[in-house]
Amino acid sequence: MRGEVILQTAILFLLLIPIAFAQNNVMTLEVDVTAKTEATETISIEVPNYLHLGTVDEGSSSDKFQVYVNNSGNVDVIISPLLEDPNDAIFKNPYFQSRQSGNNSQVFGVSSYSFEIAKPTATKRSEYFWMWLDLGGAQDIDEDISGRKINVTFVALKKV
Amino acid sequence: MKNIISGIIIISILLQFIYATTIEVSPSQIVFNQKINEERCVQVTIRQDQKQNLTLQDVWKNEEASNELSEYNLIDKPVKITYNPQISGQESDQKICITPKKENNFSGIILITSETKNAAVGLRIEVKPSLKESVNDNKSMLLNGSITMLLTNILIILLLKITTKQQKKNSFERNEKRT
Repeated sequence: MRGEVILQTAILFLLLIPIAFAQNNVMTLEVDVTAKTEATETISIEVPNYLHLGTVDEGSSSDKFQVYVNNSGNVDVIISPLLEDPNDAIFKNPYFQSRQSGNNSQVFGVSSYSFEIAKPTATKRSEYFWMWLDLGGAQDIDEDISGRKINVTFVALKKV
Repeated sequence: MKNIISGIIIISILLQFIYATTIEVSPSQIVFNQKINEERCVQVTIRQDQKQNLTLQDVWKNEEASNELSEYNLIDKPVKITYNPQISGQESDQKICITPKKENNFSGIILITSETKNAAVGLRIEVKPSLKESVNDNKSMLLNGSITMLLTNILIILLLKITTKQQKKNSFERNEKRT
C-alpha cells in the first residue's frame, strides 16, 4: 500500500516536470532592427530662387516664362508647385503649362499642376515648364503695386 | 539684332541658375513595418548647397503612396513621429523615429523646405504595421497548453487509482472464494 503511494507520487512528479519546463519555455528574443531603406536612392533638385514676371496690367496676363528645374538625384521625381498663400489677391492665378504646343500644352492652375523629371543618366537632368500670371480675376486694384512678391515652393517627390 | 535678342534670352535663362537652391535627401523612401506602439528610428542624410535653415514638416494619407501632394491631408497623425523640425548646415544626419498608433497602412511625406521657400524635397515614409504575434501571446498560448497537460495528468492518475482499486477488489474477492 505504502509502495503504491510512493509510486503514484513519483508518477505525478514525473508528469509535472514537462509542465514546469513548459512554463519556463518562453524564450525572450531580442534584436535591434533597422527599417528597410533604399540607401542608394537620393532625391535632389535644383530650383531657381527668383523669377521676375515684369509689369502686368490689371485685367491682363504676364508674358510666359520658361522655368528650368534640375533633377540631380538618382530617382524619377514628380515636381509640384505650392503657392505660399493660395488666396493672395495678386498671385492667386498663376498658370502652368509643360509645352506651348502639342500633347503637353494643357494649361493648369497651381493646385493641379505637376511634372515629371526622369532620373538623370549623367549627373543631372533638366526639365522646363512655362509659367505666367493672369490678373484677369484680380479685383479692386486701386493703385499701382510695385515689387509685390510671393513664394512658390517646388516640391520634389520620388515618383510612385 | 537677332543675335542680340537670342543672346539676351540665353543669358536670362542662365541667370535663373545662378541663384538656384539645391536640396538633397537620402534615402528617398523609408518603410517602417514594426508592431503598433513599437518605436523604430532611421537615420537620413540631408544636404544643401547653401548654409541656410531647412524646415521639416510631415503630412499623411491613408493607404498607398501617391504622386499628388494634395492627397496628404490627414488632420490626425496616424503615427507618433519625432525629428528635428529645423536644421542648418550643408550636410547633416537626422534621426527620424516612428511609432505606429493604428493597425492600417499609412503613407507620409516629410517635406524638407529651404529657407527661401522655393524648393522642397519630400522624404517618402511607408508605415505598414506588422501583425505578428507578440512574445506575450506566445506565452499565454504555452500557459494554456500547460493547463491542458495538467488536467490530462490528473485524469491519468485518477484512472491509475481506479484501476489499482479494481485490481485490489478483484484479488480480495478471489481470496475470499478460495477460503
